[in-house]
Amino acid sequence: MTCTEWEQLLDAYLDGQLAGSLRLEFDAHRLRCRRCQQSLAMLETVGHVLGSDSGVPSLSPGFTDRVMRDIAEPPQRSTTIPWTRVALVGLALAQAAAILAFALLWNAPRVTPAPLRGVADNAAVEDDVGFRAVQRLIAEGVEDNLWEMHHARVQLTQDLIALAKYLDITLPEEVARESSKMAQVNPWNYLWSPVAPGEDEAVETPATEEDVHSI
Amino acid sequence: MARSEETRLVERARRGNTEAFRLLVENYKDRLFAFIWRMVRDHHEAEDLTQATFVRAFQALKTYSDRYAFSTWLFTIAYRLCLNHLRKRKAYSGEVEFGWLGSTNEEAPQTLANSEEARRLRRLIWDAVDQLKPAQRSAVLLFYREGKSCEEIAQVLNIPTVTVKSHLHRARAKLREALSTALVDDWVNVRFAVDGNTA
Repeated sequence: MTCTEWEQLLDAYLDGQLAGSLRLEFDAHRLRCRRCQQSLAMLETVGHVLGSDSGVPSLSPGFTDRVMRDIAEPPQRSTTIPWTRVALVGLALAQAAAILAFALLWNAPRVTPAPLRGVADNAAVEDDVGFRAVQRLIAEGVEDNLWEMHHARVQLTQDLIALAKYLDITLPEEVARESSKMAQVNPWNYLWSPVAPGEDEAVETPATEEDVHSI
Repeated sequence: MARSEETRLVERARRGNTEAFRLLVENYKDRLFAFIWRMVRDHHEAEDLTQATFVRAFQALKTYSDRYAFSTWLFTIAYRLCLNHLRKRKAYSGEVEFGWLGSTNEEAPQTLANSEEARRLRRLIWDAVDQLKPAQRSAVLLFYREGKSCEEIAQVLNIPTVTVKSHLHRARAKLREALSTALVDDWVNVRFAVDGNTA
């Protein structure tokens, strides 16, 4: 066998997995070949240093007692409040409340005031126009509020992501995914869907995937 | 501690006998701590992780199968806790640079050798070990320090035996590469010198 071939058996030799006769042959080769001798001696030195160096600091006194105390009374889990999650849930609830309020207003039965006796038909038409104007005003108000909340939520999500980045905190995959998804939801889709089902969703992307996953 | 004695203690601990478990803690705490310390290179963290390993072990004693050595089982728990800890310490994305872990000098190992050259060699070797990936480093530590076989290491790391051999092979290649700068003419003499602690 050549030196290179013996070198390939070096690991098996060191792992103690070289069978009897081959091991003896390897030992014999090692005696004549300086290169293999040096390689093996180097790795045996490494093994010796790794196996014998006692440069590890000692456990502090009372370690066993502390373990036994922990076993008797398992340490309480940390009760740190997950503020990020609380904020996200709060925002989601606020959004849901706004959507519900808008949906109720949108679907509320239209109350058309009974025409006064003797009033011309065009008065009824004017009433209807007036009602629509009020309805539009309410809708615009709700929409404005909703967008305001949406932007606030997007801003907060971005701030939280930036804070997590700054503090070098790793967001769990699912939180990162959900916050990214939430930040991308266009609230108008919720409003639009009852009246225009099937309309393509125009997704705004205030917080990019990269922002979230690069943390 | 003899295997039969250990099995008896584990059995008693399993039935809730904390004194039996105390003896197991006493028997393994230093070895386990040394392994964990080599992995995380921080005294305080290593002590916390060692403590957590024993607590987890006690809570999960019912799942322990005496087909394996108790130490193998303990090291399995310790290794997983170490990995989780290292992942938390730095966002883990498959291949992570762990070289910085060993760069601190505040926990430098005690020197046993007498000569500056031997001290330099030892530092070179341990620095090279610190540069290894966690799985390779664990394989090396379990093999050389704990005397575990490739099969037992496979059990601890939860990987096939052939992968353990591959880890050891790569780790040795890296160690050889690191030591190629050592400018040692005759490793055979160095070896004997280290044996005698007189290098």
